[in-house]
Amino acid sequence: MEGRMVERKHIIRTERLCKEFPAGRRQIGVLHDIDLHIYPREFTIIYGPSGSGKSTLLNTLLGLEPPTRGKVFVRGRDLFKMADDQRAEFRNRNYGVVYQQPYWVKSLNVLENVSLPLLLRGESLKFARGRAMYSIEQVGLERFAKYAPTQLSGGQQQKVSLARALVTDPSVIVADEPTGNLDTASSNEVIEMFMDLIQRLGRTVVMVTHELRFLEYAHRAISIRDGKIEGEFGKSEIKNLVKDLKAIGIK
Amino acid sequence: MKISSLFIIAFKTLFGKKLRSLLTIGGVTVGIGAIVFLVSLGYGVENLIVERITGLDALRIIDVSTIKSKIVRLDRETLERLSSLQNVEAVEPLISSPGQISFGGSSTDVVVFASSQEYIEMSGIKASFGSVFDPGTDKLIVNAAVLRLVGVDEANYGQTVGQQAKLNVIINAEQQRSESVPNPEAKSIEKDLSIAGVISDNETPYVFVPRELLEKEGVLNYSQAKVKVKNKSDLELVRQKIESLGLSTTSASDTVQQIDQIFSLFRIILAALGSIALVVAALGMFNTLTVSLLERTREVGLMKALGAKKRDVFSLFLSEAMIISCIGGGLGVVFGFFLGEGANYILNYLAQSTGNEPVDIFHTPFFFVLIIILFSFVVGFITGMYPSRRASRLNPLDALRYE
Repeated sequence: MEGRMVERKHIIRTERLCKEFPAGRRQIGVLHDIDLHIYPREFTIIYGPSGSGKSTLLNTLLGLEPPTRGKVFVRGRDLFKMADDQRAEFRNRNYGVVYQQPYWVKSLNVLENVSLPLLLRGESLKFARGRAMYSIEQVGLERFAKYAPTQLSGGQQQKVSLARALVTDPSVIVADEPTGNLDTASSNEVIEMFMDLIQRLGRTVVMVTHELRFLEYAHRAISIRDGKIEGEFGKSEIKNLVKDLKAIGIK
Repeated sequence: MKISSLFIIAFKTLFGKKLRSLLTIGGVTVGIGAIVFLVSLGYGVENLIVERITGLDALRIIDVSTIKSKIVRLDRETLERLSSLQNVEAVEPLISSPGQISFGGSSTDVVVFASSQEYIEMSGIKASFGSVFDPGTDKLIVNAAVLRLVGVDEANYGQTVGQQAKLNVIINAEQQRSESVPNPEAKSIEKDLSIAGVISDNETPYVFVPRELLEKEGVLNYSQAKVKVKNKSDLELVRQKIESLGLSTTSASDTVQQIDQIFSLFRIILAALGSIALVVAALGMFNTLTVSLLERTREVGLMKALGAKKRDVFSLFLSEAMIISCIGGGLGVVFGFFLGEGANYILNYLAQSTGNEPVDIFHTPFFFVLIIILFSFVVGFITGMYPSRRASRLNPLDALRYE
């Protein structure tokens, strides 16, 4: 099963990715020779304990964190061979991102915040608003379109983040601990919405989390520890893993 | 990003911090307003002085006289040549001679000017009683100094109009000399003339008589002439041509040029004073923009993560600065202008109620308004440059993590 997947064409690929951060005079390695493949229309979870380097990895995949060594290819293009502005544009065209914390342009309302990626792309205001409204309807918050984002609850804000991530119709949706700040009920709601949209729209999703209970939704799971890939599991292996986890009482 | 989207975001951001934006715009308004107000004062006072010194017509007039050598005489032939110069509208000569006037039993020495009615108008002389004489009549106009010296009470100046006076004029040899009569003799003539008008000038005593009166007595050479050009701009060229004929010239425009030089310095000093307010306002604006950048560091990070280019972030911050400075500049112009107009109104009101002529001491030329709006644009650009550059160069990840 694993072999069959490797033959498929990947959408994101990393090549011996290393990242070191300076700490005083020493360099501390955060990522070590990561070779990662993300396949289209799959929901991939990258999980691991805090400090394992998963967020750094995600930021590198997004082109926000240049690696010390190694390469990142997204849809066949070497991300870090581009100039900053080129990479920003590439990010705008290919990625939709949901962060752990909701980030907003505070002077703009929900509708305008969701329009922002399209406006940055140079779309007209009218077009951007139309698309943004459609995207907000997808997450069921059209009632709050004219609200300031910070007036909404944490769960609602993450749904608006999702609407913003979807508005550009990106090839990859990246989520960095999207439920990290939410209570269990809201976080289940957000994840369900995520899953619903992924299945309905058939998107590639990469999610970083340390909550193992989401594993059962994933097509693939990549475990990361101390900056190295510890294991990579397909759908059937995940099932066994989840069973084992439940057996020892981890939810 | 489209400019329209950029401006909407910039406006919303400014509108989101109403008090701060209003105060910053208010600062720029006061700064630009102070400059407009003070420089308008400079322009106004200059206009006032120029108008007082010279009527507007004076700027088109050249005074021509002979040089002491007397090789070139100011005779009919020379006048013809002056009239035929390009762009000359009129040439009016003047004869001046010593004389004596007798009126009401007493007499006094006077300067006798013989000229046309037009010459008197060109000189900006107006009769305060009666009127200027018609050409060819046996009339004269006197100034207040003459009446004072012959013992007329100031209250009775008006009543002298229409009364008879006896005038003695001495015509010297030089005035009668020509090629056909190389050695004429000086002579004295006596005329009975009626007073047509009184000029309010009270300095040296003089009278004006119609030019024909002395021309009939054989005066061929004039003392001086006024040349009126068609346009102010032609004045210098015509002057050069007249001087090349061997005549000497003076013009009120010389004085005006000096006034202009003095006042351009005066205006610079006033503008510098006003600029102090603007510098303070610009620093306030700089402070606002910098604080706003610090507050919105995470927003900048977000926008970059969502795909904003350096140029987008730069333009966004710069357009905020431009909006502040342009609104502030526009309001400042209006504020400074109406402050000046208000001052004019009050001064005119006071002047009229004390029986003085109304004056405008604040004047705001249109080109100056354009310059100052352009200037506030430049101030916004310069002030906005640094925070905008800083914002555009932020690393998106660092910015997102900024607390």
